[in-house]
Amino acid sequence: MSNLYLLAEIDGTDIAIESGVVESVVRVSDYIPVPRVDPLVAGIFALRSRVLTLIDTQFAITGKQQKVPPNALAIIAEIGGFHFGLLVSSVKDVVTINADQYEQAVKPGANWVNYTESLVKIDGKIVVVLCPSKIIEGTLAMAA
Amino acid sequence: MDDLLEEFIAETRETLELLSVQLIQWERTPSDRSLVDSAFRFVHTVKGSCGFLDLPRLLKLSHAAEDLLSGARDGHIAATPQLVSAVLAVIDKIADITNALESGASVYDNDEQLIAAILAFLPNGNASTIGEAVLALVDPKTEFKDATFETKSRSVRVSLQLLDTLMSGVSDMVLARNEVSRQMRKHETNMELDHAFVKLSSSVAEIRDAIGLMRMQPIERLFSSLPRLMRDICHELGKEINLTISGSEVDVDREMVEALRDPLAHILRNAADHGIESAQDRIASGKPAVGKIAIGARQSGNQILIEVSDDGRGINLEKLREKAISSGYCDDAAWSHMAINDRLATIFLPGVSTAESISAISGRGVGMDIVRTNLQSVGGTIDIENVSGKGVTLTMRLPLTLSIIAGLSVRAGDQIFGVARSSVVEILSISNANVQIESVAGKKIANIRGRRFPYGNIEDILNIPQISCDTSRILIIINPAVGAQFALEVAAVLDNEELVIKPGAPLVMGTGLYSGTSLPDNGRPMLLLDASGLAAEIGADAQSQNTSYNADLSNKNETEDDQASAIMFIGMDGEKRAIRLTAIDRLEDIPVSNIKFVGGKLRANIDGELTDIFDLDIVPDTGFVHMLRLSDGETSKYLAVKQVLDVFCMSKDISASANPNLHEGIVQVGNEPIELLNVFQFFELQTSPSIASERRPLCYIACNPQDHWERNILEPLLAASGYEVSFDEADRLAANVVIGRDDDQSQITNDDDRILRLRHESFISKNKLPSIYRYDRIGLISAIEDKLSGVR
Repeated sequence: MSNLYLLAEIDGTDIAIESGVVESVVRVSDYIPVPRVDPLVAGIFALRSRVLTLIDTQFAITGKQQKVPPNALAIIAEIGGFHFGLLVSSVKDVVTINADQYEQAVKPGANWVNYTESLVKIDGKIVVVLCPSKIIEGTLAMAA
Repeated sequence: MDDLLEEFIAETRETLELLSVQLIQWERTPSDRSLVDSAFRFVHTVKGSCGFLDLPRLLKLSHAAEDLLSGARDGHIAATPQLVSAVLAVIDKIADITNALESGASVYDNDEQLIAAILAFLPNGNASTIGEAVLALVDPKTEFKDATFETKSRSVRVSLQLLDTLMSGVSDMVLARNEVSRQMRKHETNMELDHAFVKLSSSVAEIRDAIGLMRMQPIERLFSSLPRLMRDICHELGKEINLTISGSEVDVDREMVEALRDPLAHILRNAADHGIESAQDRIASGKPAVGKIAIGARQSGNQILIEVSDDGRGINLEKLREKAISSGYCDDAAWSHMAINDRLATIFLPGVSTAESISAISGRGVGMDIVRTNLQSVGGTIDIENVSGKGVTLTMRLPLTLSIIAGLSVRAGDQIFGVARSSVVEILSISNANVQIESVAGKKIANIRGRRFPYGNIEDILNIPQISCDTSRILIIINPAVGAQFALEVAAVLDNEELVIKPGAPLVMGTGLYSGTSLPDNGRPMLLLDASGLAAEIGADAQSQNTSYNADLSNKNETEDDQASAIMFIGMDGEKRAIRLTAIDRLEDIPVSNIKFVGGKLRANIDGELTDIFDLDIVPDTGFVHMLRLSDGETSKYLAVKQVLDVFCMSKDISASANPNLHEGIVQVGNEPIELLNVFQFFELQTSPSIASERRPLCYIACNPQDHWERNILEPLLAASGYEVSFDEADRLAANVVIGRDDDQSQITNDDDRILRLRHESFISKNKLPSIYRYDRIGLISAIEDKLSGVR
């Protein structure tokens, strides 16, 4: 397992996603809403002749649906054989996280706990390590 | 059986490689339950396959490994390096035996030791034996390994991913070709370019068909292994079960066959083990002693339905509740709020099973979890219908194929959706005098020519705002795979195009309203509406859900009888005429620029395909010509019309026509007699033979390479009449007819019935063998036909 992580921001919170999961980061210029779908799904969009599902990551965590801004940033990841675009407000950096950076004392808030792998300290700030598959599969299990 | 074994070997080998990786990861992160889950699933699958291929050694080994992993999954034992190496040792052994199966070599049998070693890790096992056991595992297996024999494989295993890449490549190619054709229509065309484009089109079509075939296979391949599996299960359980299989001939996508293999095996095991009661219990509850399991496949619209039903005891909801709660998926309160279907659906969660005992066959609550995962990965769904005490019916719904379908794009609000054309019965304008929307008991119903359909408005169903300026809205009659026909009101029908369909993410498919996603040429993704899902939404699903296949068929026949309808139009000569609706594929407006006078006839050149046009004498300079596209199932023709008036139901009595070739008869519409055109006339004249038959008879022409007449005149004539022509001596044996000159004795021997001689003179001379004058076209063709049919 690599210990490289992509740093991004969702709803004002710094998050990290393991780089192995991330296929690429793209700007979504155009997307099609999917009527009557779980509010977690912001829509579908096309990327290199594939159709991907756009996930409102902020909704998953905070329960607040966001308006997808034009040219929104999305992290592309493959989960369960399908490709998803996870909306983030900004992408900051790629960093290495070592074992001594794991923060044991603090626990994430109730909204976050289901999707969080761990908390880490980076440059004195606490960053949430998100597990993208939990965001998508967690909703599936609830739906079932 | 050989095929099955070969596949098992290949599959197991792949599985084992993945499994080792999983196990090693698990050793590193022992707390990760998902890794144990997936390792467990792998072993379970291997065990399942061993069970039905009757490989007892492998079955025992995998069962032991499964026991151990099951213990680990339930948290009774922790992952230690010893434990993992014990499991790995078993896996190596399985790999050795699998390899040996293929090469025919023998493998040293220390299975019992291994199994004992494995079981010692279980909590009730003897802990003191562990050290010993682990020693036994350090078995220098290479010592006992026979020299493996090299084996040759007869086919190439191509990864589905590669096939998929090929498929999507071709799909993109089709779309690009359509784009080129659109661009070409805009510009001045030139003959050479047209010709090259036609060639390109036909080869693209050929490749697409070939790849389509490559992916399709009859579901029989899957079903054929089931009776054996059933027999073994019955044997093991001491039950008697009668398995009936129907619909083996249904063709499905190859990937679907692979994705269905495990789910079906698991479902059968579950049904036999937990569903069907023992003979005594069955008799006690008034059922026949022999249990019944039925598997049926059928194609319905753009879906494949596979139903597995048993007449066993059904699913015990009370036990399911206990299991669901004890596995921590929900609590008591949540359960009591769940709808019955949601409760049943908990059976698909990992770790939930209602079985009391764990057997070699099933009961660990892993099967149904695999079933749903596998189905979802190909865009399928599964429904359970449970009648307590009477049995369970599982219905799997799969998309027909992951490839290309003919679709209509329709507009709802400001969004565009696709509908599979195969499910569309009719398209009408809502302002049509034959359409009335009635309101009955709070529900809307569409009354179309006296027939009533459940009605739904697409914007209401999808919950999107309607655009107020839509004046002429359209009603589409849809025949869903499940449920009754219904009428769907949409804002507009936009286009008719080929759509490349891919399954959407489970989150999107989970709505039940969509059957896939597609990316049309414009680059904006589109959702394909699922006809059955819409039917359920409108409430058109209740009527025919429980009818058996036979009842379905008879219903269909009745409605078709009632529906003998025809379309009324004004022909190019200004006369009102009618033609049977069944003969019409669709209405099209053909741009004048696509109409050409070629080969003595007016033809429409659409996307590189030439189609004959009837009843068009004068082509206007610009604009479009309205055409009815007629089809006999194989070929299509266009019939030019001035205006399409209406669709009406024909009364049973049709007055005879004085010219039956042109008119089938005369029908009364209102009080007006209308000629009903005979569809036959359009197809009888010259169905292009190359399309009509797949395998064309082969004519071998015996001649010298310098004979120009044969090559320049005879060959084109035969080819145009629908024969395959060859000058290659190698084809002579396989040819149906051999043609040669009567004066060329070197080429033509007399002992062959297939020989046809051609002569230069118009009259036959004395003392010569029978022959045909070489410019007697009709005589030649009829002589070839005589030869083909066996007349001498």
